[in-house]
Amino acid sequence: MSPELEILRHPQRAFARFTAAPQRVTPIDACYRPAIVLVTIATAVSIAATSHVSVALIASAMACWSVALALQVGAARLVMPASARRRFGTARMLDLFFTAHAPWSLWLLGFALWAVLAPITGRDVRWPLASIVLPIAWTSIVVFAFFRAALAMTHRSALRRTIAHQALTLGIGFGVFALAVAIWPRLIGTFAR
Amino acid sequence: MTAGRIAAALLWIAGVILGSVSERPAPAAPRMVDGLHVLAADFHVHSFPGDGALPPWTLAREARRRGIDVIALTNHNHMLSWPLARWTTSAATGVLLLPGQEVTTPAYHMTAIGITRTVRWDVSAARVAADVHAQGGVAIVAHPDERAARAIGPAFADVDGIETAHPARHAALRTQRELDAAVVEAMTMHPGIAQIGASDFHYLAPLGMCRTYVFAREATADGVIDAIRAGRTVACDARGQTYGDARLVAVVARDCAAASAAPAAVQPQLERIAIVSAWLGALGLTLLGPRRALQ
Repeated sequence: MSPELEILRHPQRAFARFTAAPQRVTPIDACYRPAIVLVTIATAVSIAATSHVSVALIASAMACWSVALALQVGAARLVMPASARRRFGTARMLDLFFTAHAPWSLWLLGFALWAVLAPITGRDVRWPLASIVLPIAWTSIVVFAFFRAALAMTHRSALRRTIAHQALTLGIGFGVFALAVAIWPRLIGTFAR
Repeated sequence: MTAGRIAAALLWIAGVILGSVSERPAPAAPRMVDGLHVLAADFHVHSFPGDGALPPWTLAREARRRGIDVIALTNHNHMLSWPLARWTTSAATGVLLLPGQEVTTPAYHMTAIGITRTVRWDVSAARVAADVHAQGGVAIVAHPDERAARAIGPAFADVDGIETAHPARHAALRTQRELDAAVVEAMTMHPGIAQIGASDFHYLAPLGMCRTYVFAREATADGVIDAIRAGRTVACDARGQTYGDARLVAVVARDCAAASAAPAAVQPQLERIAIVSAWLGALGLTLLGPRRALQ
């Protein structure tokens, strides 16, 4: 079974097992999982937005949405303990940490699938968008397991860092989205009803 | 595991290559009728950066693939994607890009097309329309509902167009009724108001799902804006229904019906295989990550 599948099934046990023995992870190795995340985002965006895939579309989506990847790498670096307090180096930490992206990747691919299968007229996007709570909850569990089992943190410390990580990534993500949709006039409109 | 990962990668690459091979732009042949260019347009398109999934240069390519000649970039209360569009999109795509904004206010939305700077959202509809006109643009009421119609009120006389064909037309019955009532009110106050079809594209295909056929004296931004101002447009919805002046409708009714029925791809079967292959490949790559060697 692959690390991703093991982590999806039982994150704490999987992280404990992966970190029981030292593993060699070079900086190039550490780029593999983030690159796959970018490939997945670009594929999902292309399929959902155009019902089409092509080299130009995927390259363009990868260029644009690498911002989301940079945000995740930045957030991971911010909430990780300093290297002196970790059992392994930055490359290994990032490689392990990005195994936790599977819930979001699966949700994105699921959304793209729904987008091509649903009839184009009268599509109700509310339920697919509401299902965003699933990757949010699932990722929180996996990230907590990462801090607890991979970095051997106390329950309290792991929980604190999980909350910090989720607040950072979701806060920035939703913040940017709120600006993009002009949330302020919408809020005024909602409360003025 | 490695074999599975290689298979997934090959599947993904095959899908993307197959998709590229099957990609053909729809024939770009704007028609001329009585000395007027007949252009297919989508005047309500969100782009990256903003709440649209695709950047302007990709939107231009996608518009060509969907047989659209003109698109307006209309993000909510900002125009950040317009400089990006100017720098990255060449005339070679054959698609005319127009600067715009979806003026998003608490009570109504209005697309401002052909503007040079952002329009304030915290003013009345009449003032929004006046600001858009002062900048040489046109103001189009976007997906109006009952509340928007109430807020716009007499300012329907000041705006240039109304989104008669919008995906909301194919949504809940109540939404359709409110849209119809707003269109009737707008046409009563402004009989020559341009009928606009727009997809309000964000992140779900297809671009140009609802579209406008514009009868322009010249196939330029000024020509298109002038045609909207003069009401020389026909709105076309996703079911192939047209709205507008009967003489103009007669010219494009068949195009509208064909656009609503036709898939974008020239070889839809190949396109489907490409999507399935790329999707399965990405799924495999997501789930079959590598194990690292023990030291």
